[in-house]
Amino acid sequence: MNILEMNGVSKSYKKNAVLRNLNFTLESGTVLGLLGPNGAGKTTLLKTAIGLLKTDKGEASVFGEAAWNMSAKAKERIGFVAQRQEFMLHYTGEQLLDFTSAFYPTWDKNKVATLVTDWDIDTSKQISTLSEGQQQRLAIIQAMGHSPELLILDEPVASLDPAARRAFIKELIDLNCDEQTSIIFSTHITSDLERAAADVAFIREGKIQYQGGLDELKEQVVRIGFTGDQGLLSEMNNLQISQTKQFGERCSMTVTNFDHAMLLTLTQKLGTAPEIEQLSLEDIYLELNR
Amino acid sequence: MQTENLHFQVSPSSGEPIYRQLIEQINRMLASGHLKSGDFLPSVRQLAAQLEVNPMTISKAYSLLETQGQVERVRGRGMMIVETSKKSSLQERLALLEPLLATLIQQCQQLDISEQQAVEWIAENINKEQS
Repeated sequence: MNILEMNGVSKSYKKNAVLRNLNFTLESGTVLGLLGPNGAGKTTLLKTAIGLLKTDKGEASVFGEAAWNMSAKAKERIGFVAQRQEFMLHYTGEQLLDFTSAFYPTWDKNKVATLVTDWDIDTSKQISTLSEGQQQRLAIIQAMGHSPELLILDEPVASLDPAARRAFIKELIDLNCDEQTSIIFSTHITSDLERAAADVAFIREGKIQYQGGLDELKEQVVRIGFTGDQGLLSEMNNLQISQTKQFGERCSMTVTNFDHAMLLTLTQKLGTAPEIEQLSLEDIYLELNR
Repeated sequence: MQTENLHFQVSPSSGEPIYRQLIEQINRMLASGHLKSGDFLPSVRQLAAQLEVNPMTISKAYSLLETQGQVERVRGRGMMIVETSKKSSLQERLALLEPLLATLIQQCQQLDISEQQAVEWIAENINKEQS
């Protein structure tokens, strides 16, 4: 079941088109990593998806309701952490969490207390005196306290150090595992995504360029190496080649639709079996964005 | 029955999907007899927590092993290694090392290391490991 759907969504700020006829869906229970360069439309996509921004064209819906006119009940099932926090900085952490809890009948005091301890946040301090990383963690706790079914995080780990990032990723995995929470998080750090996400979506120039399983992506995008001229393979019409490099006798070809069943044909064409090199998500991402 | 000592290790940023890395490790453990019929694999939760990866990845590896007939789902107890999984012949186990072998041979050539030098060096290190 899709808990989130965007069909043909466009959104501009003045004359600047940010989302262009974008389609996107999220299946219940998935962890999806949204990856894209700065300015590609990640934040706008996330905000439009849950009705924090209104679409110019197309439809966005959450839990089957139009995102822009969502009922209070539906809103209670969502947690959102913005990229930049707009706290009331003179509050202490404790005051902030108390204040937030008043809005949610399902607020889980015990869970919040556990997270505060685990993430080592001094909630008696004024928020303005906390480090950026601690403010970020506080914002995440604030968004998780009511046990949302859908958690949306805009660049949640950008200001965390590697240890805190790892702890946060672990928290996301636990949340997905224990409560089947559906999670979308945007990032430009591919290694965070490789542990936590089962699905990935690449956004570029306001459009989704790829959405699907991380494993499938890694299996389909590979580099084929062989001795011989690129012409041996470039004519194969079922091979999607994204890049070819020829260094003298050696040829290296990046293919985006590889399948192990192709090996036989490739071996026949080349006279010998080619080397198949699998790529990291970062390499794949750069490859698809060229 | 003891599965707590099994040592799994994955490298998330490798090009090889995590679930494939796991399947290969389990296959090696089966081939070597470190996993025997009747043994249980760690639970999805346990392994996901230990490796800090998405539990769906672990489930995927286990389901594939189940489809291939190497493990069986036992209600309330988890994934059990099935009867037919026996320690493989030396030939079969060596076949699993072939990708490593290709790299080793290539690098020996690059480093100008002779067959005898390589063999002696490997033997020396294996003895060290075992003593």
